[in-house]
Amino acid sequence: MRFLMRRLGFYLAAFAVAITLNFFIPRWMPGDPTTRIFLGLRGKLTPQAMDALRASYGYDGNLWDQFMVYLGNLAHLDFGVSTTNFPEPTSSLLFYSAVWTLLLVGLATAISFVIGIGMGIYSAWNRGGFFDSVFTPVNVMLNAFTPAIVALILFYAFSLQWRLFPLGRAHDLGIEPALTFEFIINVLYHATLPVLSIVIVTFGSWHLGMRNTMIGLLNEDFVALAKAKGLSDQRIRYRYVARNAILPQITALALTVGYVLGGALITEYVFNYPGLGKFTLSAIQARDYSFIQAQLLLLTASVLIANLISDILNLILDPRLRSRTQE
Amino acid sequence: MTELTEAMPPQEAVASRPATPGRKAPSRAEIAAELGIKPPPRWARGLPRGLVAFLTNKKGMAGVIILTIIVMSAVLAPMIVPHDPFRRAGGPHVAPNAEYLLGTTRVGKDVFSQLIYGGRTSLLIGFVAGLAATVIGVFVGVAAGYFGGRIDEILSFFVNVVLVLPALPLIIVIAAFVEQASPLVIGLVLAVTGWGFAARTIRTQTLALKTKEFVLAAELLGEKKWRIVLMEIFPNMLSFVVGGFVLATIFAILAEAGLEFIGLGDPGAVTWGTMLYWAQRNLALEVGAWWEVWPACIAIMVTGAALVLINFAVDEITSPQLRASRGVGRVKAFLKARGRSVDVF
Amino acid sequence: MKKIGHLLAGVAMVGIAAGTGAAFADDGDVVLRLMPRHTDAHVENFNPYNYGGPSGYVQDFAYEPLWIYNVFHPDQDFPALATSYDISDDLMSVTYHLREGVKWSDGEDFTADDVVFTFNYSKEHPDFPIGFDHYNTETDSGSITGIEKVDDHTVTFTLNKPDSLAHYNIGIVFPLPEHIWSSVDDPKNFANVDNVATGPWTQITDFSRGSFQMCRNPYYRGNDENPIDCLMFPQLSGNEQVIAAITVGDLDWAGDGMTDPEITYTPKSEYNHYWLPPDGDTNLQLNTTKKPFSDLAFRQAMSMAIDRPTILEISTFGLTTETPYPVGTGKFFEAWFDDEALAPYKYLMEYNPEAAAAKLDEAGYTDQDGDGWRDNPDGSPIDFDMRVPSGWTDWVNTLQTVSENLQDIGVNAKLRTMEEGAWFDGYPTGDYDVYIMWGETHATPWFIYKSMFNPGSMIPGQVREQAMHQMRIPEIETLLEEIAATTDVSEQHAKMTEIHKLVAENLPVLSMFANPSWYQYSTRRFTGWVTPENPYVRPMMHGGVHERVKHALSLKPIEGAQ
Repeated sequence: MRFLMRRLGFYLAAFAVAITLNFFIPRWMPGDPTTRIFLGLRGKLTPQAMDALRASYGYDGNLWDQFMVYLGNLAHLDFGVSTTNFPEPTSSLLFYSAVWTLLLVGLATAISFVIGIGMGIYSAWNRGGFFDSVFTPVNVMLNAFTPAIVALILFYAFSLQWRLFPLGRAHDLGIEPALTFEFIINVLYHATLPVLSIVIVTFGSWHLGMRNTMIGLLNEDFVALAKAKGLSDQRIRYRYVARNAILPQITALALTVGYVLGGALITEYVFNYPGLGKFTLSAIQARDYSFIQAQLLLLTASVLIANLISDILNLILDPRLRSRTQE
Repeated sequence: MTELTEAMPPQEAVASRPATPGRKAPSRAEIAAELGIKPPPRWARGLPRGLVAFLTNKKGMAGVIILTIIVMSAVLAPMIVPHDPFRRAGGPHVAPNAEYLLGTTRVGKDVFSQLIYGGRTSLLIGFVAGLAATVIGVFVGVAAGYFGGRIDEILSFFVNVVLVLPALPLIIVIAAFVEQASPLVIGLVLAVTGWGFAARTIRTQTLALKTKEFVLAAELLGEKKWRIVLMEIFPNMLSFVVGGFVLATIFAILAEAGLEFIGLGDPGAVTWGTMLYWAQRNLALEVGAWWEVWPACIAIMVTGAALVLINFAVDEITSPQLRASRGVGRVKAFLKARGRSVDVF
Repeated sequence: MKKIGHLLAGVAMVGIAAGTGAAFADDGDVVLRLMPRHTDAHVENFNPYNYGGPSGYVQDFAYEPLWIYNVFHPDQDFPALATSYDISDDLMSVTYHLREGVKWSDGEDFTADDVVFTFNYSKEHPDFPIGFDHYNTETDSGSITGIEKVDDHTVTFTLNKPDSLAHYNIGIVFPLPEHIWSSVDDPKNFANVDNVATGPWTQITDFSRGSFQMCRNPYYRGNDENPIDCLMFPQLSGNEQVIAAITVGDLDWAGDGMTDPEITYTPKSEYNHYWLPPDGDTNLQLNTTKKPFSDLAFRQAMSMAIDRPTILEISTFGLTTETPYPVGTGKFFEAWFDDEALAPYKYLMEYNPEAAAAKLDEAGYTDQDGDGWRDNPDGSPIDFDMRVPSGWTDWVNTLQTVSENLQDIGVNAKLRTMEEGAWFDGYPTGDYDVYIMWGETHATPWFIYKSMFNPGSMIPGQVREQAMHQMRIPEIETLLEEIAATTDVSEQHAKMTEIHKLVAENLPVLSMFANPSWYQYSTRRFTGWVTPENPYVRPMMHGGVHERVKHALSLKPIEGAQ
């Protein structure tokens, strides 16, 4: 417990540093929230109008005062107002895009985890077989293809060329979000290609991780014992080996989930999917400070929490670590 | 490497133990023959065993050969390329022909020359960023894991900060200071933000190794701490370090290409990432100029695949149990015939 | 083969059906779908003077200005809230006669009081960019000194000096309803959710993140002649999406950048059309406070070394329009060019590397240190960079070609791509070598040269984008004042020619090409579009093109296609 409290303390310290950086890094970027608007209008904006916009966004004081205001607002969980979508509260846009990202990346992570683990179990059990010798390397190689390429190929082939899938958006124009069958089907239809492209580049690592852990376990004495006791292969495979081998994968999954809120930047960009990654990229390009800050805050918090969870899991799963850390 | 030597003895142990009374133990060569294991080729004799294992690993060698070809063509780029990759060399979107091996881009630059030159930058940035991230990661991870206590806490704190550092805005910030988001800037940011995972893994690994007998023995013998780290811990993690380096390099190459692809790079530079960026901006596939898109795609994929193969080989050599070869089946059969439980293998 | 064709057609039909499908619950309304702005999500803000986004939707369509200038046909302007205006003989005031019987969309009358209110309101809220150019006694800048209500439908603006052109800036202001805005204390932060205006479409309906509609103003005077019930603004981002939306019929009118439109756009649907008339001119701004740009001979050599035909055809994909004379403006202001007087300067626009090299040799720009590059006559090396935002690909291509051209004649010029923000932050300082820069558009070129040669825009730290060359030409400053002091059009033209000649002789900027104005339209549901054959107004639909409302009102729905 003391160990956990200490870790928690350090995560909080890291969090404090991160929120400070989250404030200053966007402001160190050249330009400010009016730059994009000015460039977009190709000079049709007078310097007075630029100042007006800057003032209405609340970014005209000195940096230190702004920082104090930021901290004060943060304490009230007030994330300010978005400048690219003025005067929408940042929190509502954050929530809007986070929903789509959670759906997209969450679904993709789940599918990729399930497929990867399944294949991992199969190829570990039949190691050296055809499936293992061919698909293990192939799947891992898929892992080394950038999402840019996979997403582009899928986009060009299925959306542009054959027109089987939409050219972007989370759902069709004109369909309003509601918990209807039609809407859900429409959303899934729009999410198919983006999810697929994320799954393609991620499931290989689960496959390999599961396979390697499982092969390690198959060599342990308890498996031999189980065999000697005459337990069925099926039972050994799932009850004994897979169950133990999946634990480290779950720890890794916890870490991955922390990054879900980072969004799938490239995939969202290619498919014009309104997720956090795309919003953040737009916000960075448009210097929408409050959105960048809020998104980074969300990401920081989720990554640190995920780390904490994985620490706890490690502690529970690996008694050796427990004994070491208690020194 | 130790894992390798540890893994070898069982065979010899089995071999040297009479399986049935009155029967002479087979020689090593006999077992090898029965198992269908080829002896190491003549040229390999005298070389370190680990190296030989790598050189005879098919996947690893395939990866190395592919990578060598790519690296050599990048190194020799100035001698290979028929055109200046930075300038217009012909008409717009000329289809591949004898003069333009892979055609030309929308503005008439030679795709083949760009591909070769682009590899130069992409690989260099990938390797340097991967190496830098690995070195920092190993240094921090080993120090945190081995020394523990206050040092561990401070270093872990930095690891956590780095794990949440936002790479995208950082690239723009750093690029602003040097006024251009050159591939070098991107590589730098990737190195600075990318060592967190390596450090975490290495730290965990160090914690595990710390409890091993040989480390404890060295400690009891009064070895200096830095000596223990260098001589006992580090060599035993070599596979992790090499694997980590390969993965970090893949990550850096992909990330650099991805960032340039979405327009955060310098479109005036020639890299695989900027090639994709231009192809996408010029709707190359839509207008039928497939040759502007695929070469860079395939180059990135092949490089990634080659590095993955090498990583596989590293894994297999350091833990032979992972090897997915039919040889394992033959060893099983062999052992079964000798009346020893196969499942312990 | 035939069967396959049918099959493919069937698949295509399914695709189209999936695209539109039941997406639009048609209740018989005639809806024009347009997209003035890329966005990731719509927000409820309809403040006409918030240029961060909403101005693009509500200006012109909902809020009407006093006067709509027809930039293509200056003799066929459109009266809007004013039916006419007079400039006093001493050019010291402008009087607007307001349209009678106009009602705001909530039923209140529009009167001179609203205009007076808007004027005073803009004075009280200098941070709200209404756009009146108030005269400031302290700095002696600006032009309008006051406003006077003559009667309920007449207002007079008084000026600080004779100015025949002041009406160009007054006429385009959008008056605000006094009964709404008088209680708004912080207009710049006012979201104006209940839009009250006088234009043809004012009523916001069906708002969601994905789209919203702006429907008929029940009190609009021209409702009987206006067949379009609603404007619909779908949320789209990304060129592919926009092109695809036009193709399948989700969009009627757009203004997106295109590449190879004959392959990527027109063949996709028989209804897809586009026209790219010339917009403002793109210029290279040379920093004439620095060597070697301070030397006219060097600037002339640079201009002759640039391969403009290649830039037109290859670097900018054949979508730009050539600029005939080296005068800083191009085809957009063609009507102002005196071909005879400008013919002697045409050679500066022609690609002639030999002459350029010879000119440099003659002026002493030779390679003195043997590094293969020319040096300044005093022996210092020439080594400069030309800056462009990294995402503006046609300009990146352009500067790439320019740098090749210059390198070919031995000048070490480099392309430098920068992140937009850094590029933008870089020019007010006045410390740079070369920038590629857009040119402005306006009803008359006077405003263009005014910003290009305004001494107030050349002060280091406050350098503005059109005056980045930082070269004062006093004769041009005088000529500009003289043009503003006369209403005689032929005299204005003669003096403008003088300005053109002075620019060509001094070359503070290098003219490159006219940017395209992006305009795509679909004839699936509407006819009456602006075409090259019938260019009755500027055809673009983004904010700032005030004629766009006249364009929309000229469209006729096609029977049965709605």
